[in-house]
Amino acid sequence: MGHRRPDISIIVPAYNEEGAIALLYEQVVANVEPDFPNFELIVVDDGSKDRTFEILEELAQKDERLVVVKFLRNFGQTPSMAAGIDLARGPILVTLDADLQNDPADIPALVAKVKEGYDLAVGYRIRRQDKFFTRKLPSIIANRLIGKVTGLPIRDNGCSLKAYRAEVIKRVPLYSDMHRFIPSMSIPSGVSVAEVGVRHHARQFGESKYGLFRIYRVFFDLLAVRLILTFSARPLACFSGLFAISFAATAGFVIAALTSNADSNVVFSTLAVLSGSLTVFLVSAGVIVGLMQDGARTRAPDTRQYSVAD
Amino acid sequence: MALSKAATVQSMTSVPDAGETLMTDRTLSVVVATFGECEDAKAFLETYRDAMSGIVTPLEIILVGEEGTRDRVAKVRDGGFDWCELVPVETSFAAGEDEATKLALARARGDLVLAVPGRKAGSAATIRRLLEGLGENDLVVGVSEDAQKSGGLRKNVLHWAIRKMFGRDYQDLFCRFRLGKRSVFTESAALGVRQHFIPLVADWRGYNVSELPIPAEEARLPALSVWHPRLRWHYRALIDLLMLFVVLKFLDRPLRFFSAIGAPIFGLGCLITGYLVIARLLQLTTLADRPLLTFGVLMIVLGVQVIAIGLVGEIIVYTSNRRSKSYEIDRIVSLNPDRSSE
Repeated sequence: MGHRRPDISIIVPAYNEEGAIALLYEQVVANVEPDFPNFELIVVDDGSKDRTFEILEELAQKDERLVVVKFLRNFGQTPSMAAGIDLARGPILVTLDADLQNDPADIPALVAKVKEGYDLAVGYRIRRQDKFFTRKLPSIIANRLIGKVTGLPIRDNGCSLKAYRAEVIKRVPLYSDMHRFIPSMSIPSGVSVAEVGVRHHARQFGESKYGLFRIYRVFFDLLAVRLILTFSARPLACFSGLFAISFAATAGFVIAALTSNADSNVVFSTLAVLSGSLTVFLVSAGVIVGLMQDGARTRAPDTRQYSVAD
Repeated sequence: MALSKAATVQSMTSVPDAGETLMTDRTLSVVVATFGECEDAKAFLETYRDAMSGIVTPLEIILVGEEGTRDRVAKVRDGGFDWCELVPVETSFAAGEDEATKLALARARGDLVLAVPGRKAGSAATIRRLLEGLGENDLVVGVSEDAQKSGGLRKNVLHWAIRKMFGRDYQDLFCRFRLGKRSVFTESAALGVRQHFIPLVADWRGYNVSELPIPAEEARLPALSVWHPRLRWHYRALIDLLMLFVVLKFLDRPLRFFSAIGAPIFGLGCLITGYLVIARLLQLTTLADRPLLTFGVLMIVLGVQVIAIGLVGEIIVYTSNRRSKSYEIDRIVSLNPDRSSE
């Protein structure tokens, strides 16, 4: 096979998956090869402490479609995914977990959706094989919340099996734990999203890297995503909502202080000072955010404010 | 995160006479961040030359000291010392050892960095032990043989705090003998932390860090160590440790930290204010003579401010991260030659 551009790139972050990784490779080949013989499989070894990398290295010596990326150390799932996305060469990118809970047999259906014209095809797990109270219930709550806050109601944000149009996903900034919010973070790019039901299997190898505590994290992450979405759309308006409330409260307290009797006057004056200080703080925060946006824009390599003449 | 792993302390026995084979493919920079503590520069450097003879010839020795360091190093050179390149770096006394370490690391060019104290030169056995101990590790730190013998409340508190915050214990963070990859040193020191905490940062970031026993007399603390028995020093070290923990844990997601503080404050304020407003609406009380109302609103204001700081932090992280890579690739394995060379 020549080194022409692959039809699809499949990205798999792996951390301590020595039990599952060879089987995953076999299943990907068996299920993807019939439809897309010219695929590439990028496995990112996120600093595994077990034999994951050695197994992958052996496999990569036999199949040139397999690309193994070894991280210098353990960076986490989002950087692993970001590395895979950066290195992918296909026009359509598919992500899935290495633990075999996702079924590679669903990849062609997701890719077909993107080929239909959607920018993102997001899998949702049918008959999810996880514990109800520790995994499924928090997931249901989190998905509803994410849908409400971001305005992109996806049934299963936690399902890693997704397919993306390359030019869309490569523009999405990925850092920290943002891999959970890729569809939401794609909103500023004006994406079209399709949902596809996918199979889900019980975990056979290794241990889950998630737990109940993630609800707390997801909640605050969501707040951050909301802010970033607002920031992307209207950078100077990040704190405008809070500012409006605070300013109205200050005005109300000032009027109340001026019109009330002597006893109430002290209370309302104090409240006016407190809410006034909050108003000043929010204005300051908004200005700082605006300055940061300006700095980021001028630093960005693809937003030059000049052009070079021939 | 590799925090649950037990501290690895390698045995002092079976140190091989590996000679130059220990350093066949990697260059070494020796960093002396406390060169000012060295009384006789020539003797110090000659001791290292003799100790490293047959083991490794460093690319350079970076000597950081106060004013006059250049002259001291020039005198050593004039005296015929031409074993390897000597790089003098002068810094103000106020900058301290932490800044000196950072400066030295910024100048280092070797693949590996050997950090040593300026007070007393290490022996051949120590150098060899560190080089041999590095193996597959990213960083090895010395442990004084008698580190376990000294105890005391303050030391126990420090060890307890490190265990609780970082998930593993280090027997001797105050030992200045360390050997590791330059990238690990520079990445860990870039946070601007106390140089003692470099192993903690490296470990937190997933690098393999190991402890290695070395002779007690070489690892003994210098006269003006942070471990000087004064309560103020210990208090500051503990606060620094706490700050380091917060920064490392929430560096990428500041809102998680600030919301954890701001949300309960905001919630308490809402509860108090809500209770008073409802009581007022039911004609149970007046608001004018209730200082609790001011307290409640103060809590709301404070909560909003703390959360807003977290949001500003998130924007800072977002704007600084969206153009930079958040990972480092060790290598790419592929039969496709285009891929392997990426």
